[in-house]
Amino acid sequence: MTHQEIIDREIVEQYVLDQLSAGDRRIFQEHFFECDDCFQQAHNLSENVTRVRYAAAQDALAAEERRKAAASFSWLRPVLAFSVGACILLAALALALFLGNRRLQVRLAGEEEALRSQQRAQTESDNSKRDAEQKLQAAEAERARLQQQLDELNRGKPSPRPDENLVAQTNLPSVTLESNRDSGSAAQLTIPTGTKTISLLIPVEPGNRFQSFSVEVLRSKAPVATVNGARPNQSGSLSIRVSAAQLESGDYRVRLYGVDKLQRELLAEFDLHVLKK
Amino acid sequence: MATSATPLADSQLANSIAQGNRTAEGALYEKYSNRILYLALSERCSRDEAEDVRAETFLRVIQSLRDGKLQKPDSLASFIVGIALNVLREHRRQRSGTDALTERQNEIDGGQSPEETIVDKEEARLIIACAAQLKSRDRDFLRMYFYEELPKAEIARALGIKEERLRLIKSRALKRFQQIYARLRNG
Repeated sequence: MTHQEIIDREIVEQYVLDQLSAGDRRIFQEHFFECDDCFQQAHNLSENVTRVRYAAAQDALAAEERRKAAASFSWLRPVLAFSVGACILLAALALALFLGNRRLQVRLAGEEEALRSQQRAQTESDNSKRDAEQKLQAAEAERARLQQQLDELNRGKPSPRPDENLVAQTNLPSVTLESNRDSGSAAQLTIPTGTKTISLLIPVEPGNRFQSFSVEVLRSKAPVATVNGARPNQSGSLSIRVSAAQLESGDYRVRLYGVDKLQRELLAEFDLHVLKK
Repeated sequence: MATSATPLADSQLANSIAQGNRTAEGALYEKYSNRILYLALSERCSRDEAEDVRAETFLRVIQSLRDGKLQKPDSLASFIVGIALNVLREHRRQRSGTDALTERQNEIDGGQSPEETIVDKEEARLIIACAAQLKSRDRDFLRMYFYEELPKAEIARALGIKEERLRLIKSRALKRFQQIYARLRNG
């Protein structure tokens, strides 16, 4: 590669613009190490190309119209930069709020669902309770109705032996027992000869606190007669019938128990004095 | 120790250095240091790397000449170029940790363009001022030719001239750019 070839083929420019093959590049490098003129040309051109490229990259070599337009609106650049920055910031903020809101919504939906489930369970529980109460009321009403029918039947029940019933009804000795703690005196029951049954009338508390009542008749602390499952009649008293044969003349203690399911509660004690003729 | 007013030929330099002449070593540095630096820069080295390459190349060249390893003293320039390119390759291997230098394009640092790495702030101001003083056609030509690297036919068409005239226009545009820049730089 001679110096003239380098000039004719514009090798210096091709070297600076990196357009030479590897072989030609090496040849030219050896050449400019010996040739002051080519080295100076290459060095100058490299500097100028670097400056020209820098100017172009900075838009300083743009077409006239573009340069004027850019110059006219150059004041906009800081404003636009601020606006773009603000927009990006707002967008990021909006995105963060949106994501946070979504998380809250999901959490809120979960809590609402849990609350709805609790309400459903509560409603079902209330309904069950109401049904149970209605059934209980119906059962109690049915029981009362049956009790009433039973009482009516008992009242109107014909005796297997009408003459004896008549005697019993007319001659049935009875005594009303009241708590003797205050009065300190015993109730008196006189049993005529030939009497088969006596009646103890015991007023009990109103209401349905007990399912039934139990009455024990004791003499010298030994039970003489026990009646279970007693229920008050329409006047609110228990009518306890005891065989007269079980009673002799003397003092007795009568205990009244209230029975609820399996529990028994002592409600009252009465003193009874029996006189047999 | 005699010194000559005229530069020594390469063969004389090589022989003098081989004989231990320190003045010849200085003359060798004077003659080739800028070329080695430019060679490294034209191989897309950074300024610091180019300085390293220059220093390392001279160390090796001087040592080789002192040891009499140059077989043909007339080919000193080619010898120096060879050593410089070897140093350059070794630098790149060390820097990148890769194998042989095959694609120089891969060696360009990312981020800034080569122009931006070379131009400092004061020079940047001068360049922009220089560009502003160019004629519109010169600006257009320089941009299309050296920056956009458009084909010559397309540039000629854009400028409304014959393609044969591009060489002349290029020469004049570069000359005007260089003159304006020099005038601005010199105040």
